[in-house]
Amino acid sequence: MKIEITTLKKVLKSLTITEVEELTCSECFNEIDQYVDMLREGKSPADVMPLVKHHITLCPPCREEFEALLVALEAIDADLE
Amino acid sequence: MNRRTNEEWVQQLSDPIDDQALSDLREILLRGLRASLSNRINTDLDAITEDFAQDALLKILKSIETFRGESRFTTWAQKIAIHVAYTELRRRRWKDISLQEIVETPEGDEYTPAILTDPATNPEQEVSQNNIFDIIYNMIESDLTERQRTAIIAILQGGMPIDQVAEKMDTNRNALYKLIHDARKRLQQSLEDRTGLTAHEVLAMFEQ
Ligand SMILES: [Zn+2]
Repeated sequence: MKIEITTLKKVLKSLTITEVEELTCSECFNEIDQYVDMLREGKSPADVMPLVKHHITLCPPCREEFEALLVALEAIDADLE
Repeated sequence: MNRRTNEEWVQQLSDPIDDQALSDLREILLRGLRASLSNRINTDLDAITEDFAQDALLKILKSIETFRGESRFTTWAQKIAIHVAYTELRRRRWKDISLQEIVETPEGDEYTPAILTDPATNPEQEVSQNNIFDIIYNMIESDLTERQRTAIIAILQGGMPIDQVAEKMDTNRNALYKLIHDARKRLQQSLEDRTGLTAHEVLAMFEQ
């Protein structure tokens, strides 16, 4: 296996945000709609759902879908207004 | 378009399905998908989003009983549509790239550890900017299973999304997440055992 130095740094970084309890992707998916609604209502979902916030920080595909969902909902709202 | 309550959505999309509700939801999903995909898809955006919306609608109707009402119904439905679309886009992007290829062909410079012996045999060793990468390198080599190592390198080095790595390793995204989570916890502990420092403290050495 070939490992780059930047990978070693990424591994180290990932260890700084590794928690004993983390959500899996499905567990995050189950809660992300509620998280997004709270965020859009100006509340602080990270206070109530810190594990969701943690998961989207750590997991690129889940973060990508979270960000895409925000864009999609903005567009729907703009159209409905 | 009528604004509906969650209860109205669920009722109208359960058997017998209300055609107007179905067509309204389809329109909503299409708008959301188009907006979120417009900067990722250059050609045939409309046709592609139509397909994704159709797949998403089927999924939504099939799982409507699992909607717990903890969010707006349209948020819940849209998250399913986004998931359908993005999963498929990731699959298309990575389908022809093998795991072997991704872990054996780094794009940047390959790291060559200076000390080939395992520093774990010498726990008194002081950690410095010079040897920390040898330590991490050795941890990856000796503390992880082959599957853990492959998954971590494919994701962190190859940039392959976890669901695509899972598919190629004949497992699912959740099982792979757990495997990697276990690997990170193992490395976290190993780093402390080997250096007497937490990952935060080690990282801070580079950020001074
Ligand atoms: Zn995830």
